[in-house]
Amino acid sequence: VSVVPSSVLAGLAASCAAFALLAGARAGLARGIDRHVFAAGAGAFAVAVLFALDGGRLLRWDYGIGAGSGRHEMPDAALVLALGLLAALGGTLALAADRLGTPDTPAAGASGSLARTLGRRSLLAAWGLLVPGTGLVLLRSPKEALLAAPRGPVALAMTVIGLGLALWPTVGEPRPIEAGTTEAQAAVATRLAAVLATTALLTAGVEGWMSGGTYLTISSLRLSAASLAGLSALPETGLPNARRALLLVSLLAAAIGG
Amino acid sequence: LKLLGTAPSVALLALFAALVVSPDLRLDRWLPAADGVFAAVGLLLVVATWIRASTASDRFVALGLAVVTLSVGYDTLRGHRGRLTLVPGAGTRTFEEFGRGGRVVGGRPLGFDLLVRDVDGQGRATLEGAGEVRVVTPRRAVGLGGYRLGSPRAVPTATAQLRLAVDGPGGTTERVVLGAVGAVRASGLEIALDRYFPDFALDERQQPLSRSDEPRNPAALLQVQKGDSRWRVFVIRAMPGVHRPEGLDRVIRLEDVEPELAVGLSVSQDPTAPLAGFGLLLVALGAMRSRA
Repeated sequence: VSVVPSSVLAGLAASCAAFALLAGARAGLARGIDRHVFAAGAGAFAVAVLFALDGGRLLRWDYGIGAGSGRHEMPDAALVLALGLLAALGGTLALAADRLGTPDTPAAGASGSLARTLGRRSLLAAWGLLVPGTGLVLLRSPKEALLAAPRGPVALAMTVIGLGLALWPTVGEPRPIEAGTTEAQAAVATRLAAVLATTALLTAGVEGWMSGGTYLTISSLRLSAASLAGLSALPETGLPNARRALLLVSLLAAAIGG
Repeated sequence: LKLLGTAPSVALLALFAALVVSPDLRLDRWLPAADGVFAAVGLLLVVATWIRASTASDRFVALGLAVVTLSVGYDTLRGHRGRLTLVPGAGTRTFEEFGRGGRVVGGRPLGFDLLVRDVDGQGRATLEGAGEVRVVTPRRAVGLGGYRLGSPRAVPTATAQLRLAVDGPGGTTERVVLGAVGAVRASGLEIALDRYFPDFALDERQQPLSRSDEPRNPAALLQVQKGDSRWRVFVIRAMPGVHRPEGLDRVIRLEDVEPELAVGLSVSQDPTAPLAGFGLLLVALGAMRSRA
């Protein structure tokens, strides 16, 4: 069993959960859900991650990896990431304002479309800033510092990927999507993620038993949460994408946190 | 019960159970009787999946969840977890048991004599107990007398071998290794250890102390004798030759120390661990086709 480590299985499960979430979102788009809703959601997620990054130091135009004597300061990345945070915040607020506006009157509709355009462009600008910012963090950090404190850089990379994928449908004209096919793909990927999460939990239990003498470890607790989130995502009931998102988050926590 | 067996109930119960077990959310900090809440949610989830089960796969999931919930519950209540630290050659019959939240609840008998034969810097140790001799490594725990001992790590103790250099007249230097017991001869001096400080510091009254057992700033107080003359010489690795007592025509330097190592081991007893693994296998197999 230890041939494939539990963290690798958790990573595979997270990939399946991410695919399921994307397919579910595409099915939602096909059913007529506003594509900007996903962009606003991803923007809010990006803002939350950037706020929390490095203990909120980006708000003071500061960013670094690690703590104490092993801390590596990155003022250049801090500047780019903080600008990305401002752009993401502005874009998310503009899209939220557009969503909350009343498009019944022509004037309101016009202002709504302006807010939507500004919001979308602002989020695209944020993504354009976060890509080089994350690149600076990943390329200029000492390898030891990255290995010692990988959570921040990995969270940044996941945010950039997620925001890019959420913004993709807002670029250009909407393409026709078959709702039934994508929903079926989402269901299969969700099932695969749930099975892989449970297999990863079983593997983590064996790893803990073999090395530490007990299967009740922090790693197996994290994967228990992911496995239960997988079971919660399986039934055909309301809010499927919210449940898939929780499955993805719990799997990422297990894969990154170990 | 019909309401419990609906898809939203199963999804909500599984989600709530996920939130309760997550070590990152730490709901046990504010949730009264978190163990009881988790047991209740787990049992409700088992009942809900069993009521909802209509195919063999569904029943696999329900049965697997039941087995896992009961196994984890039993091991949490009746299993034991703790830690012990031993120096090579020393033995014990008890270990320090941890209770809820990792707090120490006291010593618990192992039921056999455990002896550590040797330990190396990587934490690899040879253990003897319950009529067996086993080698434990950081990657491999061992079972002895119904307990599993694992996660070994080498821990420096407050005793060490001191590597000393004695600079004599005419530029000669003689090197010796001084242990905790006994004396050594070098350059016409007889040297014995009085006190050893692995991590030397001074307290607010300027009294020497050691901040830890880690040899971060090693120092020692030595008893030195030459003929009828006696001195107490202070040596510290960070400041070679700092103390030169009057009448002593030699300079004693502490070049390095080699701490004696103990081994720290985690001790666990999870009687139903194989059963929990079997339950997880059932859940994984069932989830391939189940509608949960």
